[in-house]
Amino acid sequence: MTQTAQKVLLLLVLLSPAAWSSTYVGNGGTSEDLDLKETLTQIEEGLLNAQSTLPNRLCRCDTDGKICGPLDQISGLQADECAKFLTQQGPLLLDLIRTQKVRWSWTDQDMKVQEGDSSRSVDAVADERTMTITIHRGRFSSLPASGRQFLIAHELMHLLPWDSKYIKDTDAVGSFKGRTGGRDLINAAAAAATNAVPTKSIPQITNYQSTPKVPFFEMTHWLELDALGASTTIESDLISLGRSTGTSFKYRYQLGKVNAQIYYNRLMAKGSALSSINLEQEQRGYGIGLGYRWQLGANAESYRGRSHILLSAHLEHLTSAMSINDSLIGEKAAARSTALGGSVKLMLPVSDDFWFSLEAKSVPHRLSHKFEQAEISLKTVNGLSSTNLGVSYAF
Amino acid sequence: MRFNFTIIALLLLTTSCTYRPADPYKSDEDLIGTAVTQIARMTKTSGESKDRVIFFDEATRKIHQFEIGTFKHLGSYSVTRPDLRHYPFSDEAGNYIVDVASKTIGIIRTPSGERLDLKGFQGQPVSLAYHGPTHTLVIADDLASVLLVRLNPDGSLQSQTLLGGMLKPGVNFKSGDFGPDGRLILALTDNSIAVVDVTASLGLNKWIFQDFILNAQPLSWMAPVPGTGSKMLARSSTNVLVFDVDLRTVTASVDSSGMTIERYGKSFDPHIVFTEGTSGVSVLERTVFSSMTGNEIRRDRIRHQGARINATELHLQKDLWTFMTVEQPNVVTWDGPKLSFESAWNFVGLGRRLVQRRLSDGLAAVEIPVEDNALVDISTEHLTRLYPSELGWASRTEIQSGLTVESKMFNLRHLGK
Repeated sequence: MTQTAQKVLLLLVLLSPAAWSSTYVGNGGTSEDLDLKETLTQIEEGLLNAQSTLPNRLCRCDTDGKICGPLDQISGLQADECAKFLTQQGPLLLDLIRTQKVRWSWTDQDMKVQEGDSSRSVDAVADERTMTITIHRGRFSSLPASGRQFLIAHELMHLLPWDSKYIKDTDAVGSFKGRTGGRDLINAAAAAATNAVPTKSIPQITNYQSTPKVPFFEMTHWLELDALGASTTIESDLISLGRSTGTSFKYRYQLGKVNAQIYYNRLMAKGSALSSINLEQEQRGYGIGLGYRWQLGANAESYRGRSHILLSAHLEHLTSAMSINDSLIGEKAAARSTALGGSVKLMLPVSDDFWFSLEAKSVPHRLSHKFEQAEISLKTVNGLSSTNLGVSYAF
Repeated sequence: MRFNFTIIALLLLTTSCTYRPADPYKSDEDLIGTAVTQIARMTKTSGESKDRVIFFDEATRKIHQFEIGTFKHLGSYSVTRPDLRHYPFSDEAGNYIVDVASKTIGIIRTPSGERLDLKGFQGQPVSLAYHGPTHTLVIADDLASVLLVRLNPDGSLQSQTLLGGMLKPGVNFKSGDFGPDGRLILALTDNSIAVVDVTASLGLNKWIFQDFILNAQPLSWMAPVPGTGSKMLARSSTNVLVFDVDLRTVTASVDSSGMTIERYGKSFDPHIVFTEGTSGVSVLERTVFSSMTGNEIRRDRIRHQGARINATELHLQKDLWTFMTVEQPNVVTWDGPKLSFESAWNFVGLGRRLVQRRLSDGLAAVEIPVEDNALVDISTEHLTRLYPSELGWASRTEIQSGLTVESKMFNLRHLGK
């Protein structure tokens, strides 16, 4: 693929919505990232096997070959050159994979490269200047394992210089002459590396599969536990009522950037009057909410990318039971309210599955507690402002 | 010097530990009317319960008024000096409350709460006499000053005058009360009896009276005999007697020497409760002296063992003697709000019981245990209780039936908006 074509394609990628692309760095990631990691591990094994294979058999397809097309089309001379290429570039490729010098980018946009007068759809492109390989998400996912190994090995080989220059698809290289010489050489070498991948299971991959990590974007179920501290005021000159404290349990279903929530919370507030009058207010809230998630970073698997802010609107029904008593007598009164409100919540990752959260919320409830014996009503305003600390688990 | 300080400190400690308050059971002697600590009685001059009863609430420092039938809380009235001791008293209709506190006496009209402060004393108010039909008050302080007050039925002030305790040169009042017909009868220190014209005294701002010599020892206590017009039950140092103000003679007398006063009662029929023998020895019997017609001294000797009587009411026509006993007066500990029980109109204490006996045969018809921490008021018909709850809790019990009605949480109205 030419550099010009790659520029065009990369621009397309950069202009595409951030939500539909991601960059893989390090462990974890999306399912494609995991597939890619698995593919790279397989390529590593293939390259290691290739180094122990006799050169005269390296770029030739035997009965066990998975990718034989590119090898069947080359001559003996080209096979020897392919073997030489793979033998020399193999350690460099391994180093390239292991040192994670390559930036990986996913796209859902259709990628085409211009080759002369015609354009050609491609599954991946490599840019040796930025050491970036961009992969079409859907096509990569649809490929069998050997197809993925071949595709990625091919693109990796574009990132290593050979005879002091980077190989382009349209360059003639050694005995690989013609307009597709470079591509034919790399295809042959990539096929040889793929064919060298052992068919038995690779321990590292088995480990991945036994403990799969759900990528951030695929975490749709969120369980949130919060410690609440909410404002409480009472319309009385003589009774004081302290801040409400309690806990909240929330389930959030996250779909892309939007989410739906259902929650339950329980708060207690205590107050006093004169020397022996105690007041207690128990609040039980049931709520639903709709929210929008805003990520702090573009890289969904980075710390900033996994950190996010939730903006939510809530509809909450609150039941309040207030009791007032002194050392001799007491009475209870109930009240209820349904109110609209909103919240903003900062979520900071603390591990792969857990987040720490800090929330500011306001769902003001105006309640009137009627005490029958006393023939009065005590009015309170609950939840006008609250600050909450919590922890969330996502899966 | 250090040794001397130690001696002084020990003396002070000993003095404080051995301090005892004055015996409340003789507090009605040498007074005009009733001791202020006993004035909140809820019995009408007709012998029935008042329509409205009041309490000074030590927990909230307000005066509460209740309707006796439903025991509905009618209102709470603030006092100008909640930090002081208050001894409220109300008229029979409940239209006004006389709020007696240290050097401050006010009239609170209900239900408006409008307050009128009367002329102030230099001393502490110690006694109050009241004549319902003329709404006349006589209040005396511990410096022997006397305030005469006449109110209108709605509690507004008609006239008042503050007089000294000396009616004649060198002669002071000793005891007294309103007579059955509304004249103020005073026993003087020269052993004479003064019949005070209150209306004239109010008009001229000085004592206007007629006096006469009664052939008796000095009278330390007297009370009107209902329905007689002019007869007073009285006690001298040696006798219980009845004298007629108009006839100026003793109409009946019995010897009470050798007997120990336990309680004076001015509600409803005046009476004096004696125990025989020395105070402090276990008491088996009580002797109640009273007078039905003013021409005789009635003497009922009833076997009632044990605790001291701290409130008593006698209704001769109904043949009922109602009283409350207390095992340990003035001793109450509990974990509620801090109370000044000493200021309570009645004497709270441990182990109180309300007892109602039939005079004719001494039958104990009713016995009701009373909570240690409640302020109580009694009549022949009712027992009312106010508990030291800052939220407000009071009850009224019909003594005969035991039926109790409660009023709760009435203070909460002042806490909410």
